[in-house]
Amino acid sequence: MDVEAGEDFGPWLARQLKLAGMTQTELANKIEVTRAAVSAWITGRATPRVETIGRIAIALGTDTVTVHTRTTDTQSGLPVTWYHRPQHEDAGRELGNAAAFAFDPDVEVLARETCQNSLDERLSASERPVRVRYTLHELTGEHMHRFLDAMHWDKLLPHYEAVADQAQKVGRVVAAGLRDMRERQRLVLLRVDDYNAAGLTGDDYADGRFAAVVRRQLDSHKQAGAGLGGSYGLGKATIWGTSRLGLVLINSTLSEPHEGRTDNRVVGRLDLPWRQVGDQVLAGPAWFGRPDPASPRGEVTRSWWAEADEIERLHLARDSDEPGTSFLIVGAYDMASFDKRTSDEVSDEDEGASVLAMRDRLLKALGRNFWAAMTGGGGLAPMLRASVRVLRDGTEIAPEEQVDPEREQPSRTRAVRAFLDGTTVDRRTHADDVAMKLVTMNVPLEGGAKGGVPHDAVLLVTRADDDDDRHNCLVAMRGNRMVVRDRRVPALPGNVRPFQAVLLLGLAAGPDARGAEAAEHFLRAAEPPEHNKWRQTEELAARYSYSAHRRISTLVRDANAAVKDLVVVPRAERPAGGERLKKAMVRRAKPPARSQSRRGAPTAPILDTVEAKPIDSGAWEVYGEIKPGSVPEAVFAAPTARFAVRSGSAPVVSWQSVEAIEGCTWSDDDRSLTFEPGARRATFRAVTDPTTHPVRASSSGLVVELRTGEKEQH
Amino acid sequence: MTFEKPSYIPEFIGLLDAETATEQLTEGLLTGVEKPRSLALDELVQPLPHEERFRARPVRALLDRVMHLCRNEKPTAADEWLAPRLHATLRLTRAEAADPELWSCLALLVAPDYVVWRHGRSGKVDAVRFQGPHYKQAFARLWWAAEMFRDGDDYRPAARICRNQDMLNTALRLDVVDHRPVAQAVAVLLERGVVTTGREVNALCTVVNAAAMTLAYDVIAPDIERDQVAVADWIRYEAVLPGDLVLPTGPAESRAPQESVDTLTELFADLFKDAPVRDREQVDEPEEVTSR
Amino acid sequence: MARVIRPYPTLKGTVALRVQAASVKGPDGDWEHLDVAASADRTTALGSADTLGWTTARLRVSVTVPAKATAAGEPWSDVNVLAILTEGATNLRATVLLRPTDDGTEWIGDLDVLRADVFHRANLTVQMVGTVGGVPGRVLAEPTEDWVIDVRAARPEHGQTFTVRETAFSRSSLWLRNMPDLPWSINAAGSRPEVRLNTDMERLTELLDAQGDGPAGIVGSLLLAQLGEAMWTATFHAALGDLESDEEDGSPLFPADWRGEALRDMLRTVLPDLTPGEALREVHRRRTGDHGWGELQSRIQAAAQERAGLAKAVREAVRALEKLEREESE
Repeated sequence: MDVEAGEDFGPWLARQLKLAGMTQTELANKIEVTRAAVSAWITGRATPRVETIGRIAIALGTDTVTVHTRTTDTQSGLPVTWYHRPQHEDAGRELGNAAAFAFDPDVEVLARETCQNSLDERLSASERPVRVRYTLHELTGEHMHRFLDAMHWDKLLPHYEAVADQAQKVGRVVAAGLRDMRERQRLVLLRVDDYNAAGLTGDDYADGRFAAVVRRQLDSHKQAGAGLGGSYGLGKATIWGTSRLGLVLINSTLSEPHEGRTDNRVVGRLDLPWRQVGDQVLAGPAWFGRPDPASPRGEVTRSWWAEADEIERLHLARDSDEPGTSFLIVGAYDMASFDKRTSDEVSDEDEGASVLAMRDRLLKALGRNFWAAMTGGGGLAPMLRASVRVLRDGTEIAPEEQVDPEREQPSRTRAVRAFLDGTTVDRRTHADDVAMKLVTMNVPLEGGAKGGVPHDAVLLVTRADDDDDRHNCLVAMRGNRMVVRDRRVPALPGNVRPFQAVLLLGLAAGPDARGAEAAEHFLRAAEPPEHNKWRQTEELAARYSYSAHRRISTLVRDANAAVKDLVVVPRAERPAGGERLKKAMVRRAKPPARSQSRRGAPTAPILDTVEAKPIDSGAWEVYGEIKPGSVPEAVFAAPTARFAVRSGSAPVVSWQSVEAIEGCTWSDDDRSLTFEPGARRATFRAVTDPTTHPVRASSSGLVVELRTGEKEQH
Repeated sequence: MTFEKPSYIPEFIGLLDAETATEQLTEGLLTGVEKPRSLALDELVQPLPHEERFRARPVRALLDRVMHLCRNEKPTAADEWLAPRLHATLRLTRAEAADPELWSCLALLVAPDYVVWRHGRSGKVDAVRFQGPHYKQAFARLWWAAEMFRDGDDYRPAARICRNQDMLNTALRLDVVDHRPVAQAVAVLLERGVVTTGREVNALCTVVNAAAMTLAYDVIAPDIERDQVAVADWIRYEAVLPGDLVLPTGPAESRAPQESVDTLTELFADLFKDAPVRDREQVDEPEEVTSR
Repeated sequence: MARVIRPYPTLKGTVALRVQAASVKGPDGDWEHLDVAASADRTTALGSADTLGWTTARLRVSVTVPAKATAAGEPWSDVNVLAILTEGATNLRATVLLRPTDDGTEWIGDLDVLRADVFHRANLTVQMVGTVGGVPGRVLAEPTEDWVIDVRAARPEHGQTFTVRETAFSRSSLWLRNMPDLPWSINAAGSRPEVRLNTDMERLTELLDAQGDGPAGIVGSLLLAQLGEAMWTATFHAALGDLESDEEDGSPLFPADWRGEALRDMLRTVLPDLTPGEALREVHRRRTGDHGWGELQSRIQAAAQERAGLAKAVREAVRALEKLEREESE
């Protein structure tokens, strides 16, 4: 027998028996061997002979090849279904406290959470980026129903209806989601795939990535090892929170085999509050999978290794066998994309647009938070690539767009690239230069011991770009290069040229930076689930000390001071007469407000528009529009033409003819225009006299002006 | 009206600030009745580094010479002779020559008699001849004419320009001649007699000036880069002028590219054909243009 | 200047230029790269260089032009972008052709200029040039704002107009010596207007630079405003006195230097309803004519006061004084 096959025969056979609900004795009887022989196979002390394999295959309802290769499970198990966890004997009603519904869905939060998980789970042995792709998929009509059937919607509907009746926020959200599906025959799926990541490895129940995501009460899971950790922590609730149904399906390709297999480990998880359906009282979560015969009453469902047609129907097919995970958020929505209205009030058009609105917000959020992780340099590829695409019923309506950090954050990206390329400077002499300076942080010791480890953080400063959203900010990040802190640098003097500053801490400062590992650990402990600042956390207090967080304020203060060193123009020696006088003498760029014109006096006409072109006779033909001012009849205006010059006198050109078109009359005697009373607009056409051109029209630049004056009072 | 040579002439040229200079420009001085108070003024002069090139005596000698040579002619005739020689004697960087205080010092302390001789025929000297813009001040206009119209080390085009008062008065003030091939092309047209009368000269200047709004002369007729070494060497080198009848030699800079000068000469001549010039035939003697 | 209409299609859209980097070459041939802070406010302050006696400056000029500049199907071809540095005082004209970056919207080049060729402040501008209708060298676009290269200033200030000198009047030039009690004197006759502060007047400069709302600050603000009014009035009159007139129609011309700037500035407030050209003609007419000059004085004074912020200074002085009095009585 081929012992090089996918999975060891023993565990494989044990699982197949479990799936088939068959005991060792029953199998022994069917294939006419002793129970001891079966036991020996299962414990790995012996392997069956070739002819016995054929009988085992028949007994398990499969073919010989499957038994030989053992890369898939036999299909003899119980069908995939939903398992709703019953209420604990001693628990009260957990009314509406499903973690998923604890906050408003926001795709920016989702983007931060998912990309940060993917970065933490990136296969660091490879130097390739982890690729994260967001697919918004709108399903309608038939397409929606096929999908719902595939995930046994009929088994879920009673639960949703029970919840939708509840008065809490969860009830309203779910009700809106159901109404959307029922009345508008529409369902939005948001799929988040990562590739070149660890995948959900580990046992279904014990510690490991899989259990952390799928089994825990949306709580924290800590992974040991530098540069990782914090992944799939409390924040993972945001993935469920983005579903108005609290429903997420998962397909993962594992980087390390589990049960001897890696591809298409599929499971679904539903997060709902307490509910009563029929005579069942249910506590909260439910799982979609294959019933586990080993579980109490054999009801609990667990992940299964799905077949190609199954994952196709569930919209879970992955692009390649590269390890990583796909989260399919069913009934995705984004409060912020709804323009402040509640989801119930959104019209068809709005909903249609909201897929595209969500896409735009996703792209923005990815750019804003992960530009640094998406920046490569110094021969290294970026850590992350992210893209977004939109489908409707399987057809692309917005093509996949890769987030370009250079476009989203041009100046900061330049700063980080210069650091990676080693092209930073001490003092900026070129507008595009990136200045670098080390800021030393005293990282506390674990366990509250006195002293610390010095860490050299990297501060980068470069000029701001017009396309940046805010200027003069200091953004800070650790090893995963996600923006954690983004604040304006306080108390800057007025003469600072707009800049952007980046503070690279921990492993972001480079693996060889002094104290990088220690700082990385410390900052991770100081990062709350939102990953949006560093502050006192329970973990920080427990692992370090209650005062450890003060080191962060010190670091921020030192970093801000270092920024100022780099950007503040040193005051030249005191100018003669002092600074105030110097300032007072600088000619003001803006004129003071137009002073009150003499009361009742007419305001002057203004030449509003001029168009001109040379014509065949060699003359310029001019068309002009005049705003005649407050009292048109009291003023006159004479259009004049000159040939423009850069210095010296601009030669005057005479009119051959002037013709009033509208709102005015032309007098050949006065050589001026008189306006009709009350005219708001006056137009004229005029032609220059070529014999007065000092140079031919084709070599001249024409300037037309208006000479104006008040008419003599008679 | 004439002045006598000042009894006191400082050893070196310095800088005389505008306010002090203005105070000297009294009606009496401008009409030749009073002489500048040289000794009192000398105390207010801000000295330049005592380099040979700032010595007053060579300039003074040059002016004495030109007043003698032109003693029987109209003083305007002196410009052609003086401009190249002043430029070759008073060796300045452009930055130094841009300082009006230097020219004021020259006019009020070194040679007020020349200013009155050259510009006082109407009975009163215009104050701007003592202290004024570079195209008006008695010495600055000549120095800058030589600087703007010399072709490398060749002063002949500059001398030619100074022969025509209209050209000197009009062209020098236009920014377009800052591009060397433009200046050289204008000088060529003058030499070829394409323009001769004051009106023609003015019409040509207007043509060249107005057409610059639509045509980038720098691009259609490029110049070469300035040779900083040649000019710097020349400035350091002590001036020794040849005899009265031989033009001195300027800085050993390359000349304006012939192709560029030809291009512009042709272009200007063509544009000038269409330019309206009143009384084209009438030849009028170029006269001093009174300012303002 | 008013809008110039050219007899061929021109490029619409903004052309923007900036100096990305500046360096100077010392007498020993070494280049010093100036800090980026040397360029700001559309000005590069070469006086910030540490190298004494530098001979050449190199400016890295960057120009952004609309994408249409090099797009296919436009009426122009053979497009060039030229950086031009000029200074009226030295008749300087230094140019360099810029080279386009990949997409043709940014053009970059190094412009070298000799220290000996610049008196004080040179103007940097650019021209986009191309062939239109078979005519080469047509000017297609120019930037709306230029850039100043100041070879003396240690810090970049675009609108710098006055210079300040601290001097003892008792040991000064002719007439100031006779007025040793003046706190200041404004000289608008030179190539730049100058404010002279009398160092014989004790604590004058200290007061002018005093901060805060203490007695020194109050007095300082008032003095500063008063000095400002005097400066603006003096420059206005000085500028108006030296006007040249148009050879064509005899109307007055704006001078090219600081005088023109000062006139334009002040005329906006003196005669707000008129265009700059009209306003200049009007004040010139009144100054040289028979009447109207006297009446204009109050307007000139008002404009100078406004510019100097006199009203604000007085208002704040009164407020600060009241505060001081309150504190005393408490």
